[in-house]
Amino acid sequence: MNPSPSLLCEHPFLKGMSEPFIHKLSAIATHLSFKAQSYLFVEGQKADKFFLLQKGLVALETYFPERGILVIQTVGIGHVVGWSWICPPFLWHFSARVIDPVDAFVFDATCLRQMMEEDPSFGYEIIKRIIPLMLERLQATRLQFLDIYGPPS
Amino acid sequence: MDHLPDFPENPFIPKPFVIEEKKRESPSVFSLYLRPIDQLPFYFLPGQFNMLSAIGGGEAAISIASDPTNPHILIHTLRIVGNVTKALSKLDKNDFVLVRGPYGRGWPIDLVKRKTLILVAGGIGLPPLLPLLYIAQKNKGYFKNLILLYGARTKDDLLFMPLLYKLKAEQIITLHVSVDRPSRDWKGQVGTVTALIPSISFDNKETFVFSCGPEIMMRFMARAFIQKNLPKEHIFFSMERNMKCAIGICGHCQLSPFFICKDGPVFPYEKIEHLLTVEEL
Repeated sequence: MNPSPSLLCEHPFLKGMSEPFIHKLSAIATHLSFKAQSYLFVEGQKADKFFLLQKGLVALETYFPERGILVIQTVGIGHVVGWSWICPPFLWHFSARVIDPVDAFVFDATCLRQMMEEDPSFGYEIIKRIIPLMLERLQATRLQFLDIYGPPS
Repeated sequence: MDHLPDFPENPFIPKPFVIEEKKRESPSVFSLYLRPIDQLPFYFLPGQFNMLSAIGGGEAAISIASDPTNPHILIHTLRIVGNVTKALSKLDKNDFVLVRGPYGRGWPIDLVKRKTLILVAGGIGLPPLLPLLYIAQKNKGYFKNLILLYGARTKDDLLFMPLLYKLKAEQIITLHVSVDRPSRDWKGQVGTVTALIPSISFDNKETFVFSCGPEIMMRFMARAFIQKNLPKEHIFFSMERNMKCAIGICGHCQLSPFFICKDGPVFPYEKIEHLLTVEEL
């Protein structure tokens, strides 16, 4: 069942978005729950969904030969998971495993991309909201890379 | 002789304390529970530090991690990083430690009374914030809300977790913990502590942030809070430098116009913001 526009616009990612845009998104959204240890998506597969988390915790992970599965980051309530659908080749770069049970709004990303192409003002609105998150995630990754808590050399 | 003025106590003469207990907190971190030989209460303000030494082993500035309402036991938590901390790590129960202090300006606790206080700790930066947790535990309602964001490299580097979980269970703190490098059995959040900030909500006018940890972490932490419209003047850092005299004479801990030992270690962010990106300072 499609989530109502009034429910959708409460999500931090969509806060303040105009009503017509929220209605557009509502038409391609579903409200789903995921159990712990299930996967929202798997690395290398087709990236055709976009997730807005309402509840729970998700680990973004990858396989590292000889070291097994490594968790790179976790993403929680109010966050966005999955943007590999924006750029070709539209394949997931990482896997997203559920740690704490998740409730999420799930969007058909192929439809979403098409809607963004057809209505650039809508597309720009989505991109404007995704870029700060990408930046936030990039900064967090850079800090992780710096190993800031490590003992001084 | 009664015409002579009262000279203050010589600030360079340490007082002997005996180690009542030594606890291993992580592979490279340990705590010393110290009792003064003279049995006199040792009063301090949260955020202050002492100069500690093993006899003949040099001195190091270490923050006070104990309960300020119990002046009979002094707790210091140390990471073994140099000769002094290595010498201190070799001491055991009933050995003596020399203590000078307390020194410096602590956390502005009056400013945050009945307000929301967010503590941001990274790695070994947690101990200087512990006195605030003890205040909250002993004096429920002192803070309107107390939120602790705590990050460490790995699960094994997280300190005082039984105490933190207890305070969480007693609803004294809201706890968010994150590690950079998770082991397979880690079920919590992954990423640096700054990544926890976007998810928390607070009232900008009534919220203050006290932070201690690596300087780079505190810099990015402050930016993340400012991005969420928290006023700069609501953010405080505990700074660290190589301190020697601890009373603002020797200049070892100088940060441009400030002496960390005397003017800090706790500073309002807006006072030092411009110095944090200056090389070699």
